[in-house]
Amino acid sequence: MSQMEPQSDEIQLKQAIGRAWGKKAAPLDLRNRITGMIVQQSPAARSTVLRMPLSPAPSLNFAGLAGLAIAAGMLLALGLVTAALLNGSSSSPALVGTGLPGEVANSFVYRHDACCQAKDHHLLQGINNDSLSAVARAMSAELNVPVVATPIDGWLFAGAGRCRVWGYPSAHLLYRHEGQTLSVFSIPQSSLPSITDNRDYEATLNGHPLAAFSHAGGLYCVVGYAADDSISPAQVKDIRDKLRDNFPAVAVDSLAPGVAGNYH
Amino acid sequence: MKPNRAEFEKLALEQLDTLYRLARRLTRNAATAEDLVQETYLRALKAQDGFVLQEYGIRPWLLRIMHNLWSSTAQRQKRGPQAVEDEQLESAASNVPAPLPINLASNDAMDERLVKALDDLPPEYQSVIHLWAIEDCSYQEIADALEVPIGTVMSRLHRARARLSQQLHGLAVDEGIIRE
Repeated sequence: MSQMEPQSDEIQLKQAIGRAWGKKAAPLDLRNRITGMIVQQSPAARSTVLRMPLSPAPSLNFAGLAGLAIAAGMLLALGLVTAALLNGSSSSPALVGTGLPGEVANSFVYRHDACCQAKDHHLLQGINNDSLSAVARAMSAELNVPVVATPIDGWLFAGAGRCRVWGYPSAHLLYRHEGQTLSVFSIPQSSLPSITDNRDYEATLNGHPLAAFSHAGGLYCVVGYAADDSISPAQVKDIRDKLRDNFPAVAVDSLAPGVAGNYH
Repeated sequence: MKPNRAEFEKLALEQLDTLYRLARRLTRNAATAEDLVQETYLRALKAQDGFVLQEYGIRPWLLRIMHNLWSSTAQRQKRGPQAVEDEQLESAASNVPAPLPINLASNDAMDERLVKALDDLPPEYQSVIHLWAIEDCSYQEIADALEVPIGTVMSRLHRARARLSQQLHGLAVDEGIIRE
């Protein structure tokens, strides 16, 4: 089968397949997200690349002054990144806040927005979706970390789903209040980069306040949004604080096996 | 040649439509496809230091990231495309390369049937035929993207066409478009 001169039936077949499968462009909102994600590649995200070669005693791998010079350069680069982080200055125009890597924050926001468009977010098969305790038990066992699933004052629970964040499974509970939407994600820390235990994170990304805490092997992230900006970072932080203070004392090992399912 | 960051980002963004289309083909779900594209870009941005611009540009490199990502995701979830040996694929297809039995140029009913016939192809065949027909990739690009030898690309394409030919022949007979 030569590629030099396509036969007429090859061309015809290509055209027919083109008609059958179509040649759709990526949706505009995806394009915006990808563009935004590229812009938001912060020094915090890139610093992991810089840090990696330093950890296993670099001087052992370098010979003489050249090695020292390279090591010094790397340390300088790391120092600059660290200084930028300590100053709270980010290269990202959209991400405000510290700690949460920009791409992870973006992934939470993306998932929140995508799920808000669903007509119904009761997505857990084999589980009573309206029972928060059933959701918590099943999803905790499935993810192997405690899952936060609790009523939130003033908010209507709009369903739970197995949803991917950063490409990894999370338990995603969605709440609504008038025109506002709120997500509570529970995801194993091991799924995410640069997350340490027992730490609070706050950020605002593209009009979405985020507040998260890490505990007991999980990262718990609250994301809010209202088109009219009526939900504030302080509100989201307050909700995060309440969730953290009432963190479920769930022994994951004692839970019944979860219902394995597909993550979207 | 190693592109600088700005060049890399420009090159990568130019492939968004291609990646999205393949993601739709692999996942058959709009939301999952968007996730897959996003994850592909995240991985690509992380790996950009190792990228070197070669003959076919950035496209096969990005497609390879996406394909590997989807393969590992599918294996993890025990759903989606499973690795299928070419011998198994071969047994599902005709060994005889048949000419396309009917005129595909302008037949709406046949387009619908073609969609079904295409969708019924094994995922490995679909990826190859998608990259060949929709993205106009060369065999070498497809081989690079799917990490298979170029001969495998050619044989998969050949078998996919044979299978389509077989199916569409039957459909065309059913529709009375051609006689056996």
